[in-house]
Amino acid sequence: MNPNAPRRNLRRSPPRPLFTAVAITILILLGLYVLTSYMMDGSDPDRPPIIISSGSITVTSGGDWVDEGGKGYKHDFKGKSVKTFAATTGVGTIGGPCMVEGETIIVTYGTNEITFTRKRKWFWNKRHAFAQFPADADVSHPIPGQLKVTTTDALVSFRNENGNSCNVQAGSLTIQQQH
Amino acid sequence: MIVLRKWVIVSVALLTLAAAGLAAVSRPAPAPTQGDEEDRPPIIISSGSVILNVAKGSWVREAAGRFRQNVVRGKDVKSFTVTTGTGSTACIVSGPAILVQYGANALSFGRAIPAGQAGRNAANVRMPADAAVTLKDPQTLVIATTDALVSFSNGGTGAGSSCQVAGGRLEIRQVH
Repeated sequence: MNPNAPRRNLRRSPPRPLFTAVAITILILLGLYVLTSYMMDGSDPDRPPIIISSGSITVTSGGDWVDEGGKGYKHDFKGKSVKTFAATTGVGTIGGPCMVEGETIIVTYGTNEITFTRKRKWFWNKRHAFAQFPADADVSHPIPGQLKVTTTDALVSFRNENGNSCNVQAGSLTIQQQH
Repeated sequence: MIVLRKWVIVSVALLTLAAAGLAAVSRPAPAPTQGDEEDRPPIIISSGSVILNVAKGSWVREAAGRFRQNVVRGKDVKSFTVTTGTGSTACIVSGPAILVQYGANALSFGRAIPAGQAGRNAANVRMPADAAVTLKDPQTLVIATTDALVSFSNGGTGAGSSCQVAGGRLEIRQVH
């Protein structure tokens, strides 16, 4: 080997033109993907609104409820005679509690009403609570002591027979049976 | 006269017996006095469930207590606009994440890019770990609860960052 011969660079230089071409192709493809996605998104369907609502109303009490037909339910509990009802809502809320007393309590949900009255079979029997639901209400009796009305209407207000009323707070009210 | 008195006494006795008999038939057990009887319990009326409904697409379970709102080729979700009430009483909150409170629990709405959706965000809801959630049909999720819908917020603290739910209903619009 001639020591005076020029030395060859044994390290291969990267193929610069090929690298650049690949990079440009990737960039073009990326750009095309973004553009296509954007254009396709414009023709794709809007996503629908999500509706969140109250799905039912429950009426819960000790004892049980007996179906008397015509969407009327008798509160079955061997207890004292019911003289009046005291309906309360909003205990522990910022607005404070609201109470209505009477022999009849009418609870409004949506544009519908549930009427709570006192009933007795014979004049010598004790009065018990009786709940009358709207004729087209979807009322079920899932467990003893509970009635369920399937509705997307929320509880709105309640009033007595004299028209004194409260707006339901925090989606709940309690009716005390007074003796 | 004596006959008439006897007749009155017998009639009254018979009437009394008849009334006692009727009372016994209608009330089999001897009635305790009012003071011995139990007070009747309160009747509690409350919301019985919370429903999440969409008119298009479906809810897809992603993990325990987590659902995605799926629309085939649906647009990218950029944020949410939530409305409750109507007209002048309407209350609106917007943001990329929404927290809906029912009772002391919360539903958390956010955006996530699911696999196979061309990199587009879809709405995603996270329920409380102990929530009793059922998929009633592909478009309806039902949470069994006696807690009512209370409020919603975008996580901010300033004005316009939260609303109280009116009429037991709110609508979340997915903004593209």
